[in-house]
Amino acid sequence: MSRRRNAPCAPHDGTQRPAGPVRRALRLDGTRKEVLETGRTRLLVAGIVFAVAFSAIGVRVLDLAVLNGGDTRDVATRADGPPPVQTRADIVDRNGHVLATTLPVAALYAEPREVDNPAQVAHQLAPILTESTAAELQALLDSAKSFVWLDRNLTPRQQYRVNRLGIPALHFKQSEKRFYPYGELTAHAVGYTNVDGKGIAGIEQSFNQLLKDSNQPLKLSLDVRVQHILMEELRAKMQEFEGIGAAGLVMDVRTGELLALASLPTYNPHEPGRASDDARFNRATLGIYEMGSTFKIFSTAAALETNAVSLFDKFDVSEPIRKAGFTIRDYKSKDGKLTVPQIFMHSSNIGTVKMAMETGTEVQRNTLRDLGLTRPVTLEIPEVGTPMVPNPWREISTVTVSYGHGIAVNAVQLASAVGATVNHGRRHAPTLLKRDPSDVGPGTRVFSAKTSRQMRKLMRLVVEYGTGKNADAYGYRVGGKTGTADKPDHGGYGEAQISSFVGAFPMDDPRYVVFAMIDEPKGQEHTYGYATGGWVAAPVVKHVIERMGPLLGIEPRPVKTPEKENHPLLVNALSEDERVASN
Amino acid sequence: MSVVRLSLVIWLIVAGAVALGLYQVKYEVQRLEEELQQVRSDIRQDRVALHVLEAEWAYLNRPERLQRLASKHLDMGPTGARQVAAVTALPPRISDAEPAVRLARAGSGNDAGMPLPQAKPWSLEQPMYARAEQAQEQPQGRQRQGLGAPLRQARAQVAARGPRTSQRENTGANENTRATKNNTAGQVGQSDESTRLTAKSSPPRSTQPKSRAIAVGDVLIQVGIRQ
Repeated sequence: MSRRRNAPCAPHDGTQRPAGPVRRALRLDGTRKEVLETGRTRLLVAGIVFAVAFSAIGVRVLDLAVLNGGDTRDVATRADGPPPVQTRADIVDRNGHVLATTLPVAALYAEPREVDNPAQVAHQLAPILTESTAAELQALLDSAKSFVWLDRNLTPRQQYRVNRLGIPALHFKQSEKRFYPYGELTAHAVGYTNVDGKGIAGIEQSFNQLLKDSNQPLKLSLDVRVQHILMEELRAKMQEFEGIGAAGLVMDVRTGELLALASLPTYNPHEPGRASDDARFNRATLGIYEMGSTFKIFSTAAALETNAVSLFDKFDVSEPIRKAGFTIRDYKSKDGKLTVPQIFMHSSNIGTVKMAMETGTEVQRNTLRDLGLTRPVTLEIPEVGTPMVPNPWREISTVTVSYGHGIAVNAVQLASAVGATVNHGRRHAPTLLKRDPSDVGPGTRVFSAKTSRQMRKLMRLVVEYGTGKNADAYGYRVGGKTGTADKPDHGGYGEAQISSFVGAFPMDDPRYVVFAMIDEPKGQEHTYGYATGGWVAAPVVKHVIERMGPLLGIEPRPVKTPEKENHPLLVNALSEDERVASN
Repeated sequence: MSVVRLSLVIWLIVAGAVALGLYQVKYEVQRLEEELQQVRSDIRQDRVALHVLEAEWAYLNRPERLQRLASKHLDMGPTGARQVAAVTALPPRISDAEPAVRLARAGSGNDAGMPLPQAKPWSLEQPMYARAEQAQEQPQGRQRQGLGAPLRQARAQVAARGPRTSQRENTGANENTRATKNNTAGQVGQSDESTRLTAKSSPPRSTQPKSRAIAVGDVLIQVGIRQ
């Protein structure tokens, strides 16, 4: 520009055109010059303005690009999209199988006035909406209302099919629904929610807030496979013996985790309202029962622990005991004297009472307290029954409690106490949540390791030769104790019974406690009219162990059961005379 | 003038290029924004779909249903405790590597001859013992197809290469005495080919009692066949 401006100008001469490059000067005068000057000035001003503007932009660009604009806003952090809509967290089993989840569902409604041909629409909808028939749908669509609900819960597939019909008068409303894929299998433990998505039973209730706030699934200790096995076996025996209910559980004695928790009859958690109160009643946790002879485990363990009784002490069980108006007899009256293993094996009430008398009321009470049998169990569901303990704890209480009457506890408490007895005397609080193996503490010591070892031998004896023979699962060294308790009936005891069996395996180093209980079983012909724990509940435990053992990788080791006469615990039981005679 | 025009042209080109670039970038950004929106919404939808599918998967995997389907369509039952065996529970096993190693050495004339790999005596469909018996009964009959076959051929070739030496006669005799001591010898790991080679110099084996055994593994769980 400057070059041009400074260049001298010459008047344009059209006639004389020089041959080579000639410098010419152009001089302008007067108004012409003024106009040009004005134009140049304006150009200059505009140029400056633009220059300023562009340099400002340039500075800003530099600032943003090189100096980060002084403000580091990370815009790419949410590249994977905004977090999904907050819904209630899932509940999963120990292996991650979904027990409860929240699904988006579509609710279908129609505006009947806009429906041209109600009969045809109803006919098209009927095969998709399985809940209602074509006639019902037509009645809804024929109504004079401006708005009718056709179905509240459509699966995505149903929604797709309805959409494909392309009927303009049908509309959807998106909502959510709690869904339990395993249905009634885990209903009692998991619980259910109301229509507003608030937990009102089981884990759903006790972890309501956590499930609402968290995005992480809640991991339970349950194993659906074991749960299924337990449920199936319990149901089979309950039907076989015409029981009114059943309960059972499988507990890991080393951690206190419940792998299965069953209560029958059960209910469909999608429609809890339709279930009877009886079906919703959790017999395994809320129901407290006088457990009967299974309590002899604790009486015997307490006696052995305090050295009040030694393993080969003998007790006379020939005479019934009369105490405070009660007469205690045995199911099968045995003549003469029995050693502790024999008392335990044959479940002798008289023998157990005599042992308890040796042990004393105070010790019995403290032992049961340490085993967690006198206070409500700390479990993660609200349905936990408060045990009924004798108050005051008199001598007669000691007598009845020793064989499991006059004290009522729930199944979880019993299994947990048995778990402590067999698990080298260490008790782990039962839980429904999965425990990290590194999180499991040493547990609280209830019995010495020696007592635990003795008790395991005694419990194995019951299964080898005693009342629990039907629980002997091949290869798994099952030990346990049967229990048959009379149900209280109008202040006394009636005919109805609770038949139970609590077992543990493998007995050389127990991993699991399995408990089964049938409520009011009736004696059957093929069991010779018996409906005792040994006939009813022991086979359940046997089958459960046989099926869950290989599943959980417990190594089966077939052991040969010695002849009864040669068993080390029973050899000494034979009287001197007999031994001399046999020699 | 030419300088002026050149710079003007350059600037015009630059300006045009910048304008074009800006245009391109702007629309690229717009397109990417739209794509991002689309991807986000896809992700959201996929998540919901995944969630629904997970629930459906759980529903279809109800143990009760799987049990029903398995009993209907499969010939198998759950593994029982009786189908699990430990190595220690197995009958004693004669070292199967030895004869083959000796054969290999004899063939190569090399004392430090290489031990040949052996077919692992393990079978799902049939215990090894039974297979060895079968092969003996019909030596020229159908050749078994399997992983062990090429190995067996190789071993037979090695054995056939050298002339028959007294060493090998001894091998056969040794093996045979062992076989009569323990009726499982010579069949556990010994291949039928090498058995046949040695059998020429030894009495027929038909006198051996037939033995059956469960398969071998560390702790082997056999597939349970419903009875």
